[in-house]
Amino acid sequence: MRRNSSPYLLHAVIDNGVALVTSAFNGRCNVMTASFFAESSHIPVLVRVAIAPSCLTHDLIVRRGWFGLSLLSEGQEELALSCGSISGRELSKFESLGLRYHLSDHCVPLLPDCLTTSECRVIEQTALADHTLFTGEIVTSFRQSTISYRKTLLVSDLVDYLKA
Amino acid sequence: MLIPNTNIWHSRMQNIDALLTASSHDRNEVYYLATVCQVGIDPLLISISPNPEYPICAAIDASGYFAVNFLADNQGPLVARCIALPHTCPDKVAALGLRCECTEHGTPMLLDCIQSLEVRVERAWNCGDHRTYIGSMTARMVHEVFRRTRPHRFGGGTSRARELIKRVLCQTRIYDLLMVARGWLRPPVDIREGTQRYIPTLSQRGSAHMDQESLTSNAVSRVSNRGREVPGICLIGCGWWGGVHALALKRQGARIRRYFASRQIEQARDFARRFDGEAAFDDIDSALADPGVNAVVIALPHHLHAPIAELALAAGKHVLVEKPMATSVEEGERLVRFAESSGLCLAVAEEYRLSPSVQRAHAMIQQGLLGRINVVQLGSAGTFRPTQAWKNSHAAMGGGVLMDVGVHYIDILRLWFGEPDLVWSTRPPQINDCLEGEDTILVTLRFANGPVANLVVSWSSHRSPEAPNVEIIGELGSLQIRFNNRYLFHSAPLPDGHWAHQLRRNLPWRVLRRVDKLLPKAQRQHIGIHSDDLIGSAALIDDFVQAIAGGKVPCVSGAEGLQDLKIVHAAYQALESGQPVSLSRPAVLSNCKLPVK
Repeated sequence: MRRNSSPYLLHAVIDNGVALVTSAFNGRCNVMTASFFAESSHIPVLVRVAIAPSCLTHDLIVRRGWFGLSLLSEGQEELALSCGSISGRELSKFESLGLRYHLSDHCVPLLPDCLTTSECRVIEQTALADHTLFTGEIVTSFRQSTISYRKTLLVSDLVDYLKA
Repeated sequence: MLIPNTNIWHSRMQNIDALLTASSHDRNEVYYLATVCQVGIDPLLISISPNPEYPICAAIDASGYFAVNFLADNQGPLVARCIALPHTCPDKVAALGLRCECTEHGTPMLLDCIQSLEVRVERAWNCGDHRTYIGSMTARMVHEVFRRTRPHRFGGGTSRARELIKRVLCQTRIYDLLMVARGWLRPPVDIREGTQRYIPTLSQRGSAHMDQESLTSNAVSRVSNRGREVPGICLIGCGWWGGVHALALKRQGARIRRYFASRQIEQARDFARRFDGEAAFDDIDSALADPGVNAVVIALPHHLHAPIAELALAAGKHVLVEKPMATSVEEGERLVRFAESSGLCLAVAEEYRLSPSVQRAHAMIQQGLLGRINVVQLGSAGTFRPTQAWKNSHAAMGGGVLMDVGVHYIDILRLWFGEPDLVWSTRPPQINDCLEGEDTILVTLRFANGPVANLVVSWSSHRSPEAPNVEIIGELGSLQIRFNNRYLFHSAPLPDGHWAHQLRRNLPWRVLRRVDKLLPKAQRQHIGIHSDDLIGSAALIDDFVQAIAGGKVPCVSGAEGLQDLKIVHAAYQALESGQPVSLSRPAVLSNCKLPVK
């Protein structure tokens, strides 16, 4: 493999989609790559995402109670790997990667360059062994029209990309 | 261009198709699933969320195991056949023509798929209209035949021609134009409403199955078993403030059924007539005994809040109790413990936290638009003489104006800045001798992360009607809130190169003295509030309805209300001793609720 990858890639047994989880608190924003997420309910519209407590994003979500979930598309492998291989505690990933975002009214960074970007309010958090499962209600959600024909980026796409 | 998603499927949360299998009483159940994900690495945890109306959930509950079988790219027809299969089909594996091997736990693992994971259920709870299971992986079977095959994507049945057309439309921006045109013709709905339109029957299906299930399954927390039928909410207390809640309940329309209870039956009947109620009760016992009542809103004198809330929880009803939730901390703690043990929802009516002004200010603080916050001045004053006897009684009120009004401001401050670490208070001599509690009080709160707040509430003072209820003063600007205004007032220093600065530097002093008052001194902005719900009373009821119907934790839970109460009592303690009171960090503050195994 070309570089060290996040545990989400190395230890994933399910070939799920790849997304960026964003959060902000007290003027500090962060973004991380995640593949441990899925839909939980239709009514209300709920999703769940599992995040390790050691992540900065985890702290920010716990403090703020909101998070953003932005699905990546095929062709965004570099972005997924970049956000998943450095820590937001060391530097601002938004600045270092030149990642565009805008803050919603609830102070959630939304990523306009992703396939879809959704703003979620945490309604439940469940402590698991090495992760915390955040269940969030999607309050607003958008899709990027210029790339909406693309397929979602999968974990296996990332693995293939690294092998190539 | 960003286009609003009008249903859950637009947001692409479902990615990979799988077949869920489980066995119970020698019957193999198969269920099509696109909501599976990994949720842990060590141990390796898998999570699924099937629809509880399908027999697969009963099979999983009975056996304690399930298997997730991931399909290959060319198995689209199998997905279609599985979806079309009747729920009652006795042998779904055979009906779908699948080959399977059973594990030592009897879980059927399909052979014709990329990989199968057997999972032992660790936790299960109802989450919205689906049921979430979390389990640890006990077996994994990867099928070599499919090793090089791509997984079957959700919605993967799209033809190549259709994909190509969409690609051309997107890249040429014609898709944008089409979306704009559609927005003109048909205004977009929010994602919740749009999803509901797609599955109208889901929300209308009865909750009988769910209730039965919750009684029989000991693996499911009662917290999550909040009914999915139209909930019935009874307002207990049809006084003046009860009218505000009644109006908010009426605004919920067909989402809820309304009931009203009052000692004066005529009053309850009048409320039922004005606010579309189904029934009126003249005593609390008959309201709590009515099976149509799932939840209560308590708007009674303060000393009745905790006892009636406990009665309602004991009767299995969710509770939204007016603030303060109790008159003493001990009573409040007992109520929170009781609610936690019952697994029912306990919410406290701190509606100001949900008001659009407070939410907007919160976002601005979070975004750092005011810089580091130094001081917050807040409060309200008026010449108010309570006419209800209980408001003049210290025992019934649990205090004075701080307990009745100030607690709202304390709750707002906690939302913005977290927990205070120091409280001090003082008061001038009493003016209203009829009031046993204090009629005016000044409370100073110091927050661990910086700001100091000065709260003044009075029922015996006149204050300018234009004075703001809240002024947040930060290093980069200030923000004023008046709860009856439809705007916030934001003020910030002029930027360095502003023409007014240049004039002030360059004009002769004699000229400047005359024109200085005409020159701008700060950037001022009125930030509009586009909502009629200025104090958040409608949002409060909306939040409570979502909590009892959707299983979410209310914005101001019992634990949050208890913390507000503790701070009020700390202020009273400081008033009595004349010394600041140090506050320890609360043991229970978060909204998290762990499902009970």
